Amino acid sequence: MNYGIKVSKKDYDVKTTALANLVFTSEKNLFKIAQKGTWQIALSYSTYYDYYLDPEGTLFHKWSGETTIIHNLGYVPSFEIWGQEPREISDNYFKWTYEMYTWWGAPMAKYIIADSIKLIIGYFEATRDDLYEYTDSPNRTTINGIYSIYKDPML
Amino acid sequence: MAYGIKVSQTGHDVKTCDDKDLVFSSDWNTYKIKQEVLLNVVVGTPYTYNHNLGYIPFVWAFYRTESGEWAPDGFNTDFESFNISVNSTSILINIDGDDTGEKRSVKLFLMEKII
Repeated sequence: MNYGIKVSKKDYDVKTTALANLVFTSEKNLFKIAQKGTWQIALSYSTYYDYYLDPEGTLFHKWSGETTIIHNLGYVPSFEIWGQEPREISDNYFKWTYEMYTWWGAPMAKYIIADSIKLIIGYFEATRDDLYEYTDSPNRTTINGIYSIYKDPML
Repeated sequence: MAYGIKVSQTGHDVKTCDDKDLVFSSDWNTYKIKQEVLLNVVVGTPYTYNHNLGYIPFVWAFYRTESGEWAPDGFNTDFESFNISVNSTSILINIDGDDTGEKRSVKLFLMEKII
């Protein structure tokens, strides 16, 4: 004998209707929210010298910041991250994905890393001083975002 | 006494299994779909969808590419891109590419606010 629960949409017979007409079925998993909330990164300015191209070093202007969200689930969970973009004019939130551009004149990285304890969200951008006239900071140095961490593991 | 409902995945005992092996538990909330929208968006013309929810919702967004397949937002190729951004009142949809003026189908799922 089979066990389980099904809930159909209004006007559909739960015993015969197709999967698309079910609101819930125990045969299909749901993303269960383990933790949700907001996050914020305060970008800070600094400079550094890169010695890869020039033994005397090449000056870079850097904006970077990082935040850590602890979940302590004991396994790597599935998750979703949205947040503002430092170089965008609008205050809108965008889906945050992993981006890394290593071009030596203006490297940039937006990263999200998850392990069994935490989620790290970070941003990095740099501008080579002798290649560009460095005048502009990001449109915002405080980045706001939202996140959901699901009970459902990555593997 | 504790109250609630748990539904386990096939092959797991609902009374003893780990939370991750549950299909559903009243201990853990799930996102409900607040709005489901199908739109026609013109390539090269930003489109604003007003959801008027009063909060910034999680959004699952997909669009139908020129070749007829569906792709999620964050779609960026040499020929076409599909990106969205969201605030507490609206969603801005941008499809840019070579086929300016053509229409693309866009599907949005906006999630209920979880408090």
